[in-house]
Amino acid sequence: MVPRGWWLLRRTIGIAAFVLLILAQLAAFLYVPPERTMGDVQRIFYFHVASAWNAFLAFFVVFLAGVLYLFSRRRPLDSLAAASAEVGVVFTTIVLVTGPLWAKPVWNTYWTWDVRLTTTLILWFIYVAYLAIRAAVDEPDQRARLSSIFGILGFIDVPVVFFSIRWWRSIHPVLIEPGSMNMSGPMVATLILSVVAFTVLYVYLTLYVRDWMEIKEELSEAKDRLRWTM
Amino acid sequence: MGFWQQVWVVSWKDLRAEARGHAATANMVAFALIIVVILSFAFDAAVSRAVLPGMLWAAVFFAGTLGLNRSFAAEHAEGGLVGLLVAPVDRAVIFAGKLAANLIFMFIVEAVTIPVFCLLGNAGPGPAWPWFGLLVVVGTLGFSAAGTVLAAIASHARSGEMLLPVILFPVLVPVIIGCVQATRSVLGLAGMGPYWTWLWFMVAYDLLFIAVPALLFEYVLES
Amino acid sequence: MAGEPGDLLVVQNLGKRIGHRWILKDVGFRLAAGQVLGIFGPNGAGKSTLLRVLAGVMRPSAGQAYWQGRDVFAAGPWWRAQFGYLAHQPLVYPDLSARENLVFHARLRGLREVSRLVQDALARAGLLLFADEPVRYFSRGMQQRLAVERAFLGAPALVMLDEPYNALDAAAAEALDARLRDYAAAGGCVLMVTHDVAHGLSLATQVLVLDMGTCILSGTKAGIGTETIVASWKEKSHGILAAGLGG
Repeated sequence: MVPRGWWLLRRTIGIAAFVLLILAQLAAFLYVPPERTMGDVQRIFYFHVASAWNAFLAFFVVFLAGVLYLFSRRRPLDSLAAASAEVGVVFTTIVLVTGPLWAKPVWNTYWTWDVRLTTTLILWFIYVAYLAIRAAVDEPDQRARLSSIFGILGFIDVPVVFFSIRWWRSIHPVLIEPGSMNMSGPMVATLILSVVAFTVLYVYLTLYVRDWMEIKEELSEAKDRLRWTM
Repeated sequence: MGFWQQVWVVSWKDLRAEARGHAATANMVAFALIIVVILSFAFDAAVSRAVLPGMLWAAVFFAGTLGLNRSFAAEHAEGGLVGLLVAPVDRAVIFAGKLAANLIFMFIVEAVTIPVFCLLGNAGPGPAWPWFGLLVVVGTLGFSAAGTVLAAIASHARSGEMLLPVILFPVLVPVIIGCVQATRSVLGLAGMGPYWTWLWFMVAYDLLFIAVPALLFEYVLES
Repeated sequence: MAGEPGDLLVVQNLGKRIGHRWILKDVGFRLAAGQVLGIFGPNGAGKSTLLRVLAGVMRPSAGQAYWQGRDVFAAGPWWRAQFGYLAHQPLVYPDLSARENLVFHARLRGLREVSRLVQDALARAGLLLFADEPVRYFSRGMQQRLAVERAFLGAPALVMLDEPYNALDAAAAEALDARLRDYAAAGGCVLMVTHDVAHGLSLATQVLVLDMGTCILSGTKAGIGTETIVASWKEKSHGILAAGLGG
């Protein structure tokens, strides 16, 4: 069973996430000035980038937890991988939604085939594939093992996808080039705050989902044990 | 017995079983051809030659998933997989053997589909045909490598045949982009410069997706 | 590592867990050359699982096993070359002929003179007439005879048989009996799981009774009869039932 201190720690992380998110929103909407060329709609960038960072971080955790699971066969590691995937796919979806929301007013097109955004799109599909495998295998050990392997394959695939899209883009330059922004001090600070806030949120949500999965497993085990003695 | 001899034994078994009228290859060829035709309607290829490379590879890879499903489905059906598991060979031999068999099936399908495609699209590699052949080999190897390991994973799942395309194609994106771009060069829609970038890129992909699954294959098969 | 010097196969504390449930727990036995271990127990006792774990089809969750002093779980391909395995399913490929099936496994085992070996095996199984027909047209009994031959290909030092008498008619069963006796007399080790306790006992030299994954009776056959064996697991089941009912 889990030590009492754990719930306290997790709750603290949750409160920290809440506070940081409020601060990040205040910073992004009130503190930081509107961007020179894009105006207020650019503010979505702070959450877009923060989500993107966590989308990839989450998949790294899926990969790492999968590798560790294959070595140790400890179920909490698999629950961690599964939790990170569920939370990660949400962050990825946020990236894919905020991207077009930002692109349309600024560049008058929903999708720019930007390298990073397109790689994130493929990452989304890899997440979906990972979750599909988990949904399709009933036996817990096998599910853990197969999804760990896919997590590894998916993770090594992501950089390869990135490069392929980048070279593809360099051959087919698209008219819209999102380009870079000149970022002033307050903007950088806001961005960092936003990234930190979202990361803490990611940690909190992942731990929460992981604990929930572990409890579910323990419950079903307890039921099973009861059934066997009857 | 040497590694490659063992690999050949495993492949030979798959090839022999297929030759006995399992008709997976025939279905794959038929499917690939009809996709070529349908995509010709869909993209009005008569008007725009730029879509031709994409059409070819979409047809080949979609049809290819039929063959991949076959490679492990039959093993589970009669428990043949257990027979492979108790054989005194490395698990990587099973991976390599299945990969080789899948590769050969794909080549057979391509041998029919590509000429028909060239006919319908009024396009062809012309003098660049050796480069086209090289590209087909490298690209198909990438498809078969990722496809074999993912088919093995999917075979353990409920409705694995439906799961396979979902888990395979995101992983295949680099191969798809690479094959299409390199084919553009070979068909004269672009210069030969990019061809080499893409070819080496796909070689890197092939090496990665042969080495890593070979190491992990033990875990895919065990229970 | 415990065991007498003459022991070829030593299994210690073998366990297999699926999910949270231990399908096998603390199973151990020793086998020397020429010995036949009969593995008995009720349905779901873990008998097939025991063979599967030893054969490398399943990964063990606990315990060790040694063949000629070598850890079998660390030396997969080497270990798999030492034994022949007969599973519940015949493990044959339906689209290949009987001959091709045997040739496949013979070549995979790296055997020499494959065609002669296979010819002999087909003759022993009485399948020469149907050797080149796809196995999908075989009766279950024919498939089983083929599977038995596959297990004995290359005369391995150990055979692990899971319900080998399944689907065999009286003549084939007798032939298998004789073969097992000759095999053991020549020094081969046999692990045999069978539901037919009396039949199994007639061939066994050692006995292992499993129930709910644990060993409830083991040792040499001397003095153990069919009734003893069946009673042992009935007792245990009754005991559990009684405990569950608060008795």
